[in-house]
Amino acid sequence: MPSDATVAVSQDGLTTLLHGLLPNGPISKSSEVEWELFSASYDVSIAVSGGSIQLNDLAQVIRFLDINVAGHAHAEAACDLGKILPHLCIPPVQICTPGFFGRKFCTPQYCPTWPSVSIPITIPLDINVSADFNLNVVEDGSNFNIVLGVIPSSLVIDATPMAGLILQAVKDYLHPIFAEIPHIISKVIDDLVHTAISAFDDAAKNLAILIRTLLHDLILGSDLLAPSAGITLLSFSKTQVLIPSDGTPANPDVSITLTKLKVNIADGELVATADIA
Amino acid sequence: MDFINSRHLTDRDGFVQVFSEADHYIYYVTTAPEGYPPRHEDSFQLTVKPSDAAKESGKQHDVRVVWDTGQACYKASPAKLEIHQHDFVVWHCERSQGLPAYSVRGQGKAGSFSSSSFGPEAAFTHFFFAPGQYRYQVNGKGSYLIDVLDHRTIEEKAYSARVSNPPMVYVRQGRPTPDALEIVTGQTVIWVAEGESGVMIAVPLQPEAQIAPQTTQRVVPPRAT
Repeated sequence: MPSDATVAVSQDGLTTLLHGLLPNGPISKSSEVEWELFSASYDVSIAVSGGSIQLNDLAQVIRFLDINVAGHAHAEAACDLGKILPHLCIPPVQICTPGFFGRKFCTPQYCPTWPSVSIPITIPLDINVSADFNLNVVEDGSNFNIVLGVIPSSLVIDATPMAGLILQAVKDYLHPIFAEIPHIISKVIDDLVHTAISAFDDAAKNLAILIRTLLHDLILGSDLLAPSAGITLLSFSKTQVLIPSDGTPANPDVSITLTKLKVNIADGELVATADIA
Repeated sequence: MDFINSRHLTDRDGFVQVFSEADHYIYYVTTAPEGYPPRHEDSFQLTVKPSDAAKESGKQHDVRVVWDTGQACYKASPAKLEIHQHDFVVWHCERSQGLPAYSVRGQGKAGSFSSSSFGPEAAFTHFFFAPGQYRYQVNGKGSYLIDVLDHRTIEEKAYSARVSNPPMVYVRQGRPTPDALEIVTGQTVIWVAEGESGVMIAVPLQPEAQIAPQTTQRVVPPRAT
C-alpha cells in the first residue's frame, strides 16, 4: 500500500544538514603510557570540517566523504639515555705529555653520564577521513526522529606517517646533545643517534598507534560521529498542521497525525514516507 | 659552566702527586673538609719503595676513585698500592655526577700530601667541558684567564691537533706561568706546583662576574711554554 505522504531531501540538502552537525570549534583529548624503557604523555587537538555526502542506495548507507581533520598531536617521550647508550669515556684514548717533571704523564679521561631526556614531539594533522552512517527512525514521544548512526569500523585513519615523524623529532633532539660533548666526532654522533633511534623504533610505532587511537576516539566522541546513541538528522512532529487556524474559535487548526514513518535512500535522495491516521 | 676548584675534586679533575722519597702512607679519599678527620670513610695504603733509578724514569700509577653507594663514600682502587721512588700517582673519579666533591689526603712517616692544598711536586688537572672565559685565582689571589673555545667552531682535524697537547701551567711564588691560555673544550689543563706547597686553584663562586660566555673578541694570550 503506498504511503500517505513523502518528503525527500537531496544530497546537497543532506550535506548542509550534516555540516551543521559537525563539532563547532576544536576538540581535544589526552593520555599517557609507560613502557619498560620509555614513557610518553600525548594529546590531540583537532577541528573537523567540510566533507561531502554520497548516498548508497544498495547498502542504504550515507557516506560522509573527505571530512577534513586538522590540528596537531603533541607528545613528550621520555627515557633515560643511560639505559640505552654505551658507556663512553673521552678522549677515546688517553692523551700523554712527556714534560711532567721529566716524566711521561697521561691525563685522566672523563666519562659523561648520559642524561634522562624528555623529547617534545609535534605532529601536524591535516587528513581527510570518511565515515558511513546507517539510518533509523526512532519514536521519541510526540516526534518521529530520523537518526544517523555511524558505523565505527568505517572510520579508518592511517598512522604510518606519524611513526616517521616521531623518530625524526627524536633524532633532531638528540643530535645536538651529543654534538655538545667534546671529542665526539661526527661519525660517533651519528652512531650514538642511530643506537638511540633503534631503541626508540618500537616505542615510536606504538606511540603512533596510540595517537591514532586517541584521534579515532576523539572523532568518534564528537556528537555526529559518536557510535553510541546516533544523532538526529530530521525530526517530524506526529501531529502536522495542514491548515492553520485563522485565530477564531470557529476555525481551529486542521491537523493530520502521522502513525508511521519510514526512511530510505532512493535515486540519490533521502526519502521519508509516512502513514497518516 | 665548569666548576673548577682544586679543593673539591669532581669527575673532571685529577690529582697528581710525585713521590720522591720512600715512605708508607695511609690516606683517605674524603668528602670531609680540610682539618676535619674522616669519620666513616675507609683508609687506603700507599707504599713507596726505595729505588736507585733516575728521577725521569718514574712511572705513572692510576688510582680509580669510585663511589660506594652502600657506604655512601668514595673508595680508592686499588686499596693498596706499591710504587717506587720517583713514581707518581694520579687519582681520578670517572663519574661523579650527582655526587659530592672529594679530596685526597695522606700521611706518611716522614711526609704528607693533600689535594686540598697541593705541592711540591704535585699537580691538579681539569678537563674543560663547557666553553667560556674562566677567570681563576691561585691561593685566593689574582685573576688569570683561560679562554675555552667551543669545539663545534673548529674543524675536526684541527681540533684533534689541538687537544693532543695538554697545556701545563707552572705555579711559582703564587703566580701561574703562563698567566693566560686559550684552549678548546675537551682539553685538559695541568697546573703544576714545582717547588711550591699549599697551592689552590679555583674559579671563585661568582659566575656572573668571573665566567663569561664567549664573545666575538677573544683574548689571544701567549702560548704555554
